[in-house]
Amino acid sequence: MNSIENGVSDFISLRHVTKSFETMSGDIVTALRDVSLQIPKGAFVTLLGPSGCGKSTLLRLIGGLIEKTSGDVLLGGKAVEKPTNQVGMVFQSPVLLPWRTVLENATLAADLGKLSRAEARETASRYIRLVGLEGFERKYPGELSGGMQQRVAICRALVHNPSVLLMDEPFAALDAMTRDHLQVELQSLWMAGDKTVVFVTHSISEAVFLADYMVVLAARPGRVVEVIKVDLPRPRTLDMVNSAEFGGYVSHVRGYFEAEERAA
Amino acid sequence: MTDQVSMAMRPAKTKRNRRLSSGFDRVTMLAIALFILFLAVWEWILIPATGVSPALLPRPSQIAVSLYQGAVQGYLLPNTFITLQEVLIGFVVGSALGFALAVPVAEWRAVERILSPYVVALQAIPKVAIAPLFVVWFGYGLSSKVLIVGLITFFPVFINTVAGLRSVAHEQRELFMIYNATRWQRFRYLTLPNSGSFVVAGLNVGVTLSVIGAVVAEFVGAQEGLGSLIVRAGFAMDTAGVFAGVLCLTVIAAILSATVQLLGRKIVFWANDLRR
Repeated sequence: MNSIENGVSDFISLRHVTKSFETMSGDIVTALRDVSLQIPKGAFVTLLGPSGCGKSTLLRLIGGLIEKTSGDVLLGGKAVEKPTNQVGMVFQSPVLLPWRTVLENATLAADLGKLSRAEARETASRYIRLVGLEGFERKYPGELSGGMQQRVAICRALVHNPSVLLMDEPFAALDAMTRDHLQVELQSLWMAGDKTVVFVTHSISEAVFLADYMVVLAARPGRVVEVIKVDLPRPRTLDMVNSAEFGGYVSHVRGYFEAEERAA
Repeated sequence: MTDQVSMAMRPAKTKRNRRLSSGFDRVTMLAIALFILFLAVWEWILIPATGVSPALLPRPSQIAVSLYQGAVQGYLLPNTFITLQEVLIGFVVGSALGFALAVPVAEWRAVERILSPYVVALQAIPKVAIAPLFVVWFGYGLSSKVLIVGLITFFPVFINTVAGLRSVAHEQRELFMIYNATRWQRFRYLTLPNSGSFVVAGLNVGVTLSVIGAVVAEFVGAQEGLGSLIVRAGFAMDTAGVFAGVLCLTVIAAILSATVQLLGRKIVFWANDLRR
């Protein structure tokens, strides 16, 4: 039911994944229960749900940052046990190192031995240009706006050429206009490459705007309720947000959240 | 559009100008004027009006004379130099040890559990109170002073460095996890630079304490240094001499503290941007 496309190309695959945590008081909390999800290579997938639905946990399981309690997490056919070079990640806050310049932040992966410095500098410069930060290479994060910092974080995540980009509510802390811009930019970055993107958000319109597939999650315990294929043409524009089709997707998803709120 | 841009640029520019000229702005002038007024009141109003004996409270002019004589007769500068030497060596040794020990304590829980009882015990001891012991053990010379200064500098640097090395945010840790960074890489590229502002804060506290440490050590037992100079002047009822000694100490402490702050701002430059 939760399979996006039944094909051989399933690149990220979760089968009956459950994740529970022990809280400080010793209670066991089930963050995710029996989640199965197949993501084809090159897709843009958004994970959408209310807080506490385990969407960030799901992202971290794919990235290998945390371990599942049971089930299988596969990336490119291999079980995910720890982070690999295949993965790049963007967090809710930019997490830039304030003592490094924009270029030095973007090439962090080189210092950590993921690729050569020369290669990193070349790739980073290219991405910095693509996100419109040319000329800011020698600036420090403290001199940049929040949106610019998050752009640098995206460059950093892409420099070692991962096949999967994991994004954990990367635009949630930005103002609405910057957010719109970055959504459009991210779409063109993704369209220009062949990366698979898994993007966590709690904004319905953001999820619809970006997604090939929208994974709707519910909370307590976190579980997948529906996977929706978003059939809007690419490249999507900000005007499309006002279209009836777009609105249809939004109201469909909103139905879930309202139902859940009533139940709670 | 052009207008907006230049409007936006202007405030930043005036701000910089103000900072550049801040050495001679009105507030500074006022502060200098008030200080001169304070000295004048002390010299010409307070002392004549109250008739306080110079043995209790000297006039500013008498302190100046004492400073001048000390300089001319050639005992003030060598003694200042000796105290400065004790402070500097002790400060460098103490903060280097504080930093070096903080790293394993912050990085490995086991090391912390083994070492922390000693650290807590040592910290609880009033260092000044054991100064006589150090003089007994290491004599009247430089080594006992350096040890006391070192011990007194050690703790603020140690404690701040441990706190700094542990101040890594959860997402920063995850960022390095996603790259499979080794422990050393995480330390070198994240934990260590991230602790910078904490270490500088520790050094700032340590440098002020180190001057106190040196003087107390000299009080307890020394033949040279500003501390012993002050003690001798006190016994001789040479209050102006005491003031002259205290003034030299203050200058040492102020210069050292300013130097540490300046170096700190240069090294941990990003922290200043955030504070502003």
